[in-house]
Amino acid sequence: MLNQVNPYLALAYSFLWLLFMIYAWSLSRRQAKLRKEIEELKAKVMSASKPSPDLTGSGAQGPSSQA
Amino acid sequence: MKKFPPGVHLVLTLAWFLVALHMIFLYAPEEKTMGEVQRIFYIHVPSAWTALTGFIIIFFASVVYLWKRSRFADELAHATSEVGFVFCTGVLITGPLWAKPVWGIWWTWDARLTLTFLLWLLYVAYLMLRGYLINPGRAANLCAVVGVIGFVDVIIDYMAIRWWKTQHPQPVILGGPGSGIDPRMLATLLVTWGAFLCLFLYLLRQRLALAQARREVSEMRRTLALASMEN
Repeated sequence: MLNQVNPYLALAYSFLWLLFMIYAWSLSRRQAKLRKEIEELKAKVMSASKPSPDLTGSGAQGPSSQA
Repeated sequence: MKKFPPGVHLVLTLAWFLVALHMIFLYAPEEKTMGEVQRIFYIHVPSAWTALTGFIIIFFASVVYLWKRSRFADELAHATSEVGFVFCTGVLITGPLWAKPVWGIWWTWDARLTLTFLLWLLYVAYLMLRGYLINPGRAANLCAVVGVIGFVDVIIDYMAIRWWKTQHPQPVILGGPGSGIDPRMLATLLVTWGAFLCLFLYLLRQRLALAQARREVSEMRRTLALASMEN
């Protein structure tokens, strides 16, 4: 069956689908990389936005109460 | 767009391609002089039309960007340039593979082929400008200019086989008196072009989502930098 297929026809279809698949794969790889980066950055933003313990009310009262 | 999720879009595209492949190999009649190899026509022509459509979108998005300074228009032009480049590469791969058995040569510098190669170079130039210019505003401006000027090539490329006698075949659709193809061939061509457009839009959506994610990352980095400066 394969011997009957015109080689130029087979090559044209194969190359084109390969091209589309490589591009779709590259897109999904880049998306996955960015998604991972977003998750990491989200965690960093969350930890950065948390108030530091020594600036809280209880922390601020600590030294004065000791005094 | 939220009502039409990417997963559904992908399934629709694949189903459309299955119908198109069925029509290409089982429904469309075999061309008498070229034989089976003529079936390259059904992927070569839709690739070319889609690549041209891509540059038309770039042109309009570039005009909107230069006029309104719309960020979305700039992102759309950039995303389309990448997807259009893929389809234009497809034209330059399938064309020589069809030319060799039919003309006996892989390539000739006739008007249509040269202008299509120029279109591919325009896509490359557009993407290289985006990649190499550090200032994003400057890159957007220069690329918009390339998008507007490059559109001239799209018009001449489309008209080349109507204006001049070329090695490339004369138009079979909208080519005036004497042109035309078998109705089954025409139906197959249009269905396949529909599938190509559906794939083009799917890839474009994915590429736009990537641009959105990049913007999100840079905004988060800015937030982090500000937070670290405050602390």
